[in-house]
Amino acid sequence: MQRRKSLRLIAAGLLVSVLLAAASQAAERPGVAPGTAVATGPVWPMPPQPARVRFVQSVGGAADWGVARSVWGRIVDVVTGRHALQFVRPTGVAEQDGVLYIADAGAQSVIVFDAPRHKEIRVTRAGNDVLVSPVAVAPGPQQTVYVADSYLKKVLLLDRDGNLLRVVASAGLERPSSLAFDVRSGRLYVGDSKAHVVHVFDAHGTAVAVLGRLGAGPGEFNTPTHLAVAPNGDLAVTDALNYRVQVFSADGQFKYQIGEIGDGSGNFAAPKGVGIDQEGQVFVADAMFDAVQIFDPSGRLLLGFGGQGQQAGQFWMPNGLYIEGDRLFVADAYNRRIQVFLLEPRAAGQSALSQGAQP
Amino acid sequence: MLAALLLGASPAANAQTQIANTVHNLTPGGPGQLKETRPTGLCVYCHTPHNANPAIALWNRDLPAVTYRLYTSSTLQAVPNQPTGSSRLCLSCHDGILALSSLRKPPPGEELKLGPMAGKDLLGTDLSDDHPISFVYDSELAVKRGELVDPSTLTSKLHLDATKQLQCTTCHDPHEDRRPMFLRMDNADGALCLSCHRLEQWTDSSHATSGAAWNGTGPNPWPEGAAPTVAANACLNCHRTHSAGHGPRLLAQAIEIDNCTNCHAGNVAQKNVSEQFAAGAKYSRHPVDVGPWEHDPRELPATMPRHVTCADCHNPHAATATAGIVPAVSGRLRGVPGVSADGTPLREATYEYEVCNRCHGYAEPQVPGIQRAEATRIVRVKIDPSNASFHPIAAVGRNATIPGLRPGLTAASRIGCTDCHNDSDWVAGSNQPRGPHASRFVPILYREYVTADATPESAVSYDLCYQCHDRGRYVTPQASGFPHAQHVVDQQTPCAACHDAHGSRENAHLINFMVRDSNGREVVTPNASGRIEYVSLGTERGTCSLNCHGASHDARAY
Repeated sequence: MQRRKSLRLIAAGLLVSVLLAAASQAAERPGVAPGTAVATGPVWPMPPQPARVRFVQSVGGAADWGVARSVWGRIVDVVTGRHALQFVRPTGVAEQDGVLYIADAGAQSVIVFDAPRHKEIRVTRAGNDVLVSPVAVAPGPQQTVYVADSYLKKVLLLDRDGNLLRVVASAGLERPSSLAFDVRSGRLYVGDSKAHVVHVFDAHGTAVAVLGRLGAGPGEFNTPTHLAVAPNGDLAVTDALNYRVQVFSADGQFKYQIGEIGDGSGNFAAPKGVGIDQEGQVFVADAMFDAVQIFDPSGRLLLGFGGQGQQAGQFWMPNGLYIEGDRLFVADAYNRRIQVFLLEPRAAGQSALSQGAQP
Repeated sequence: MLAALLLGASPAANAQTQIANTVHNLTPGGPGQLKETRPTGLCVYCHTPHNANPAIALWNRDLPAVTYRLYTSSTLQAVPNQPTGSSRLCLSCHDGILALSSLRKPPPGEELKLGPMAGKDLLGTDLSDDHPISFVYDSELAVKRGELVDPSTLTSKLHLDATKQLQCTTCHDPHEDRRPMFLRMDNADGALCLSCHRLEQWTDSSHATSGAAWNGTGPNPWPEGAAPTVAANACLNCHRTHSAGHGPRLLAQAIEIDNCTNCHAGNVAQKNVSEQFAAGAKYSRHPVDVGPWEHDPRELPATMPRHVTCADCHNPHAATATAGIVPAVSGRLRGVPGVSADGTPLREATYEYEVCNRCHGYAEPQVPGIQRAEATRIVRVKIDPSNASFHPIAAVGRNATIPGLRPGLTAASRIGCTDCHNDSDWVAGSNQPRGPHASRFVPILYREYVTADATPESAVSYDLCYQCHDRGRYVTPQASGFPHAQHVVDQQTPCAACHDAHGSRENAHLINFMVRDSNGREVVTPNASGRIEYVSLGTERGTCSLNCHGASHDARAY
């Protein structure tokens, strides 16, 4: 009898300590609603200039994106010693409707933080394939996501739970390493960095065009590494070894190019992710500068922000970049996080080039 | 090309002509064809040209234009796994997008091990599967970590960067691909690795000297492009510099024992150890495949978690094929830390039992077993030479007059753990490895040794004891001494009822009565006056007080 009673006490004590541990875990990391701007975060340019880019948050794990584990989930974590998901080397990022997609090439996984459904999914295999080098993600139609694996030479379409829906493309791809999906036309763009082309697939998955070829002229590429679709349907291509970004219209006509090689502001030393915002401004991440630079369509530098480091608003070899509405996501590869920024709209009466009050 | 020739034999010119033929020729023309439409040349892809007139940011006209510092930062501290210096340049292209980066998938030809996907590594703190870079390699590190050469003595072929950090460029020369993978040195016999890593006892060890090759059966244990013999592969037999299966210590295979059993399966190494541990092969074994990656080279025997793997008993950098003379360690156990008979951890074991003591020296067995009158179950304590009696494992035995030893053995003989704990199927000269890997008999015994009460005596029942102790003496009634025949044959008492095979702390002759057998049933109990003891009265004389098989002994003498 005595033994029974002490056993019960021990069991109760264990349960209480597990609950306390789970609760304390939760208390340390409150679920922050995604997109909540941090009032005290860095802004660029610094005051008194009007703010253009505002740091919102740094996402290093699911809790940062507001994906809270259930109470029982947390208890299970404490009991089993499961560590929170950590990024290893995120190279690609995308976001749609509160769901954050991360291509973590270092962890050989695609990670999905689904805030609306409070789910955290790690995809390590797609159908029969084990993911080897998933480097790019793009949100597809109806809550699906496209994934490009540069080693498997495949582009895959996954559903919202990470299950394979179909292999979108494999034949003829040498190194698919970038993706962009145009919601309005249903077109998928796949950049092939080894073949120096951009493949265009229509809404049914049929290959309709191949853009570009190896070269240094307009409409030619030397290792295109990142893609982005602008709100108006334009396609931006990071033409990495030509050290420029080229922008094409929705029907594949070359429109303009930005940048050239150099170590100064306005140049590129290692251009990576690209994005175009609602005002037509072009954002380019540079891994050697540890910065994101913003250009207007005529190629003039508007702003460079970032800098090397581990603090908020600093980068360590940023890679992919994604713009959704007024928010900018940067895959900060060697800081093992995604950083989110708010793009302030231009105040009424301001043009892209003016700064309002004269200094 | 002509310009390069005109420039003569300057290093820059040499570099240019060589890099043009490598895959680092990133011009649109590709290797060998310098069809450049702009006068930028081969070098700009890595050596970013300086812009003396950078742009001013239109949204930030107050600030001057910026020139970015691409490699150096005097004040910034990188955290582990953040590349610095020239390694940033390599990794800015080798990111899996512009060029392929290091992958956890083994090269074609090797079986894909799914270990890294599911294993603890991915969620643990060490997330790197590549040789570390971007750290300062100085004398202090060499001393603190150990087994590293002092960097001031590094061969001139490998150099650290200006801040004394090891970077990609220490081992790779991106301009020059005469050797595969742009390596600066040939890595035959591990020469490149051994330029920095100095391992004690490596040079005459089996892995450094063996000319064994793969015999063609089963999957190729070596990756594509490997050398044909063990000695030529050296480090790459077990380690991978990039895309290691297991990050800590950069082991090739994700599953711990696969690093050993991939070759020690009769396909490269002569002895087939893999077979010993195959599921269901043998009843009793060291559980090497239970639980992933518990072993840590720096573990302390007294506090380490309970585990066993190949590396707990063998040091693959030091092991040789030399046979050992009991009680000294054999070559196969060379270079392994141990625990001495009195419990002191040793950096290197000199005796075989010291290796076993590492695990069997502090912890009691987990499996409930025989309970004895003197209850300790820690093996090291039982064989301690300060005990009243012990099998001569840690020292020569106390009894100078042991009757009935088999020819070749005397009271001054020494035995090793492996004389009793060995593979039951081992035969000298076969391809079965000798040693306590696995056996048909619990606990990994060389021969049968029944411990249950009421065992009919036979040559097989106590076969293990009869390896050294002549059976005749205990089966036929003797004129003097303890009446073994009456107990062992007539009463069917097992040896284990009275003797503890390792030693007895209190009594001579390894007497430590079995109070309960391995099933929990009582065997020897206190007699009517509550006594259970043995008293030795000299050679072949003594008294017993106990109750067994219903017979009460009260200082009954022999």
